[in-house]
Amino acid sequence: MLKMSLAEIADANENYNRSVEASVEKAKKDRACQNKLQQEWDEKLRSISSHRLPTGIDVPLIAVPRMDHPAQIARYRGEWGFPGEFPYGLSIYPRTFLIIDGKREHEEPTRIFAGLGSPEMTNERFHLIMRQQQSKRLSTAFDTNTLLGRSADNPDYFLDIGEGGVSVSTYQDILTLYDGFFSDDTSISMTINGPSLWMTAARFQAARERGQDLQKIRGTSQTDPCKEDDAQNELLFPLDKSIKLAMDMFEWCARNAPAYYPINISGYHIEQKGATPIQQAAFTLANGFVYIDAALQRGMNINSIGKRLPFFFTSGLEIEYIALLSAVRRIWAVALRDVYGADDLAAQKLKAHVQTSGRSLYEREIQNNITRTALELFHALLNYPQALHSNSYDEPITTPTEGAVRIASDAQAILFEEMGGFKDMMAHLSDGSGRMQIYHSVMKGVLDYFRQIDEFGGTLQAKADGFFRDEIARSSTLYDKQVHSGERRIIAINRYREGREENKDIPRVEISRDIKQKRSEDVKRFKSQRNPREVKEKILQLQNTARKDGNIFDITLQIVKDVTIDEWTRALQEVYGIYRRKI
Amino acid sequence: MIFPFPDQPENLLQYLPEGDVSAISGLMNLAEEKARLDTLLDQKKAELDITLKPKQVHRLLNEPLEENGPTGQKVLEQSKYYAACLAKLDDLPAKTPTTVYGITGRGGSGKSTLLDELTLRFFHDKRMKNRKVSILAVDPTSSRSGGALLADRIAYMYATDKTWVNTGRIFIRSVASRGYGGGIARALPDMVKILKAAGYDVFIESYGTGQPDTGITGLTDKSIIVITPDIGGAAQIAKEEMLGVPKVYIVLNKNELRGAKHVTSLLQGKVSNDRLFLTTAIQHNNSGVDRLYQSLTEGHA
Repeated sequence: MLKMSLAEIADANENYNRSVEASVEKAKKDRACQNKLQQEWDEKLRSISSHRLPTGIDVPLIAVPRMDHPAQIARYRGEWGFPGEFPYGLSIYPRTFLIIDGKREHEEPTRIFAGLGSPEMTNERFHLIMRQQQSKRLSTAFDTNTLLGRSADNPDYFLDIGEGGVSVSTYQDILTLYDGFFSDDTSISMTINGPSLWMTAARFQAARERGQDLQKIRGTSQTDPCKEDDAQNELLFPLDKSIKLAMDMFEWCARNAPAYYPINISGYHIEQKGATPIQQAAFTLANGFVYIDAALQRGMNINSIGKRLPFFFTSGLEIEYIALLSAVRRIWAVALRDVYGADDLAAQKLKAHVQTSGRSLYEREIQNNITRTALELFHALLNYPQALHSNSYDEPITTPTEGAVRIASDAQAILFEEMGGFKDMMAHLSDGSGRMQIYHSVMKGVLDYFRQIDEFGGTLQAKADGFFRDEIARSSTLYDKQVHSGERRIIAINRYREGREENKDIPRVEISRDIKQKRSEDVKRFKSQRNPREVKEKILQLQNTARKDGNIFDITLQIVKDVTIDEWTRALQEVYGIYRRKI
Repeated sequence: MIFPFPDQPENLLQYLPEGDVSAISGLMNLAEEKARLDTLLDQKKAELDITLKPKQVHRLLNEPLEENGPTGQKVLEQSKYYAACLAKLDDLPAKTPTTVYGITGRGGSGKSTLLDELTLRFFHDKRMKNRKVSILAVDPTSSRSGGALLADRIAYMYATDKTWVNTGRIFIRSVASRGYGGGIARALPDMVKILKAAGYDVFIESYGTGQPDTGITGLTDKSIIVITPDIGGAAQIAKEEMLGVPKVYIVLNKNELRGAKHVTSLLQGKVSNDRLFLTTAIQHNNSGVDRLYQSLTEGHA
């Protein structure tokens, strides 16, 4: 079956680079070519309308450079493309972030990540966030128990209940968690991997029960087992089985929930674990191609696949982030078009959610984190991502408090609505020479990694041999050394440290014993109110489907109302085995 | 003293036959401390020259063995006292017969994963439902830092799973070799005795030390050596001393890797097929591991 090597993808990208150079050379000499380029350019310029800003000046909706020669036009179009045009160096859409006549062209990208304690508490937090957001976009953080497929009635992990995320164990919990948000205009993202099929099925089933049509349901489930293997270790089943499960849901959604994103290919955790920006870009893209290959093996169409694989990256303070997403988008677009043959433009466009870097935040002089986060947001915006999360400044010490979440969310509103620039003119800072330099450095770094990975015999083999993890660990150690030596300057940590007072009286979110106790009892009650024979039968159905290699998402949807997250996990572990973390 | 344990360790003995975990731990600490003291004495003896003329014996007994430590006399008395405590283990009424299994092989050959998979089969085995299993995981002490990375247990996913831990059927102890050769630790024989007295079957995971390594076989009823397809050619296999020990179970793990077929045929020339097991331990329900488990536990009603 069709399976592309990373070396082929690197080749295709280098071919594309050469074709850009060739088109520039041609535009220097060939008269006909020059005329054509100039004509298209003039047409484009004429098509860009202007609008008047509150200060009284008129600006075009898209910033385009002045061109003195058609060769420059050829370079601009080959390297960047107009916003919304291949290779999507500037943006995948022509009018991201613009506010014209007081109206936003796209949904605001703000997507604030939240989750703490019980489903009731988190539901309340969601309603609070929504009060200051125009579009309904939720993002859910789950507690460790939930991420590892344990239920809240398990006494061994009592203290972990609701810490760092919401505790969800039963179908009832999902109904409570998203109460008030079962509507077609709400997009719900769930940071869940191991038990992702259970969680997604529970949300789908609950949505159905509340009258939603799955054909219109919106949202994202993370379901990225590859990056778990690289960085997080929160997998429940061996990697190959975990990929199979992801594909079961991917295939199912393509048919029955076409607006839903069942997989979100995540570089964020890889970077947070210690990867350099280029490693983040390279490993994450490599993981993306694993899913493409797996989906092709299922007989899915490349255009359908390409449209359904969004990404998730970090934005940090390092200079790479001024153009990292642009570089990643170009490599993906070239691979999809020239290697995989995706002719639907929507399939070539890499959609990305970006989050500011948690690793860059420090406890000492904690309010500096607000500045760090704001600058990282700015780095992200230069790349025109589709969705954004800004971290709360208090995250080094606590699940974000309400006040800190508000500041983080306001930071985005200030950038999008208050600050002149992104709302006024598309790509106003995008095609500068610094971004061009970094754009090419990142691309080259990524392609070099592709060739190295290819030498292992592909991404999965390189993972099995520990290459990704070892590379990440190496970078992580180096980073720490640089912080210790002062080579990497961090304000109030290794620079200007004297005379700083330790932060006192910073409010922290406490999940009380009572809340944990209630969670545990709620789950026990849910379990005891079921018919044990029926539950047992449903679990057997699930296991039989797994043994026969049937579609696990399909059967999970049928049983999710009665089978809890831990029962689902255990049942499948008996058939598939457990994930053995690499050491 | 580096490990805390009760003033009157002999009192722990009475709790041992019922498998009391803190009694086991306390006695293990004692065994480890005894081994440490014996090593101190040995080091001093070596330093004083092995013949030990009366003058040297006097020095051995009356000088501190380590900075600010007790004298040799005191250490000797303490060691004898511990030895007497541990000797009482022999007087305990024999409960169930237990089996001691040893696993050895080079670092990275998959010993821990294989052991974990064997443990899972033990838990599920109806014949074993009244039996308990323990693991002694020996890791080498670094001669440079003096510390040991007790990392075996990171790979024990089933053996450390609360589902099984809560049944009280599993006990795990990491042991540092503390400079003792042969891939084992000096306290190991005493530790095995303690676990047997507490009614546990014992798995010893010993670290890979290279070829002439038969240190573990003296302690075990059944020994397993784990090798991998990258072991090398015929000459390397010839150097594996364990292959020559009768009744040792030979496991070729990572059997899915390139070169496995070749190594298998080399091994088949040296050992009989009923002692040779081809496994992929990381694979769930691997039939090679099943076969090894069945063979190891043969005879259990």
